[in-house]
Amino acid sequence: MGEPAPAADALISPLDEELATRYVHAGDREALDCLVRRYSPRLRRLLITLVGTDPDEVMDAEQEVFVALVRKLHRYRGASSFATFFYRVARNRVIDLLRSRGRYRTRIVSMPAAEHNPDPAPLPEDLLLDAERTALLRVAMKRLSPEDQVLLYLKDGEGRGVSELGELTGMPAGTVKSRLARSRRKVAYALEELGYER
Amino acid sequence: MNGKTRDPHHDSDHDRLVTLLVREAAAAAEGPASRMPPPDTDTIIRASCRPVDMFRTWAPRVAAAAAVLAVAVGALVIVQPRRTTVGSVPEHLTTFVNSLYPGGDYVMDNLAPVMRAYSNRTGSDYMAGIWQLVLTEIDGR
Repeated sequence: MGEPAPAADALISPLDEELATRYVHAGDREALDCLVRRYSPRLRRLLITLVGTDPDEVMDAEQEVFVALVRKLHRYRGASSFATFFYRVARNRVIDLLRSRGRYRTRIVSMPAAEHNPDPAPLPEDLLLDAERTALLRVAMKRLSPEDQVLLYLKDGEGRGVSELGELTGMPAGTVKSRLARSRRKVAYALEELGYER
Repeated sequence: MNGKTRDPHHDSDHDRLVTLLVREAAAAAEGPASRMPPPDTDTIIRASCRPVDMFRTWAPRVAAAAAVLAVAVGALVIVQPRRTTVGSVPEHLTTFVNSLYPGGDYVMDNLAPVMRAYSNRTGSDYMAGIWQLVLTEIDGR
């Protein structure tokens, strides 16, 4: 989704694992910068979908996740892919954020187009529809625990595999599957209650 | 789910709908994400070198524990659990039994000999304790 395929990426630039090692062992700032830029788009997508569209809020949260990542980077031993390591750190921080900001089961989220912009320029109709759908989805996903919100997003939004999700959550694959199915049902019922029409 | 009857076909429709919506939401987030300035790696490095802010880690937990403790202590202060001032249980028992048989000390004259006879029998510690209290009360009269 936006980023080059890993195989093609490897031909033109160092692997994530190599960049992580260069930063940890040699303090290579450029290597870290490369990692941060590589992972920023997927982290932002996660944050915008689950946390909100306010750029300041997203960038603050993004920085928190990357700070946590840098602090834990020396623990990365290459037992799993760097992406799995990254998602594990990001998942934990985003769950904390969702909890600490009281977003779980509490707020009615306003439509993103109206957020922090009292006089917005009119959006094209399809963009407006996208924004409304995302806002509605965000409200519906609040019915889930922060853990399940992130799990569902990583599976359906980022296309991560069940075994990888099991690895990064510590749950057996069967449990991951059943939690995903239960979460989808909950979100679907919530969408119905919110008047979502296809 | 909330008493709703589950229909497997309906469920798989739900699965597809939610999967599609989440995928679309992630794709729609790309636009706003790309319009934000890139993250500042130097700031990230500096922030990661700072000591972990204890007020954001264990301090909230200590505060929560202190709050729970304060509520518990507050509840004890309000409820003030203490011995009843109107007399012990055996006293009430003997008064009650005597009130059923006016004109004599029924407990002393009739029940006490029976209770003494049974006082050595094995039973639960709790009942033995009650038994002993009643006998002590009677003996003290």
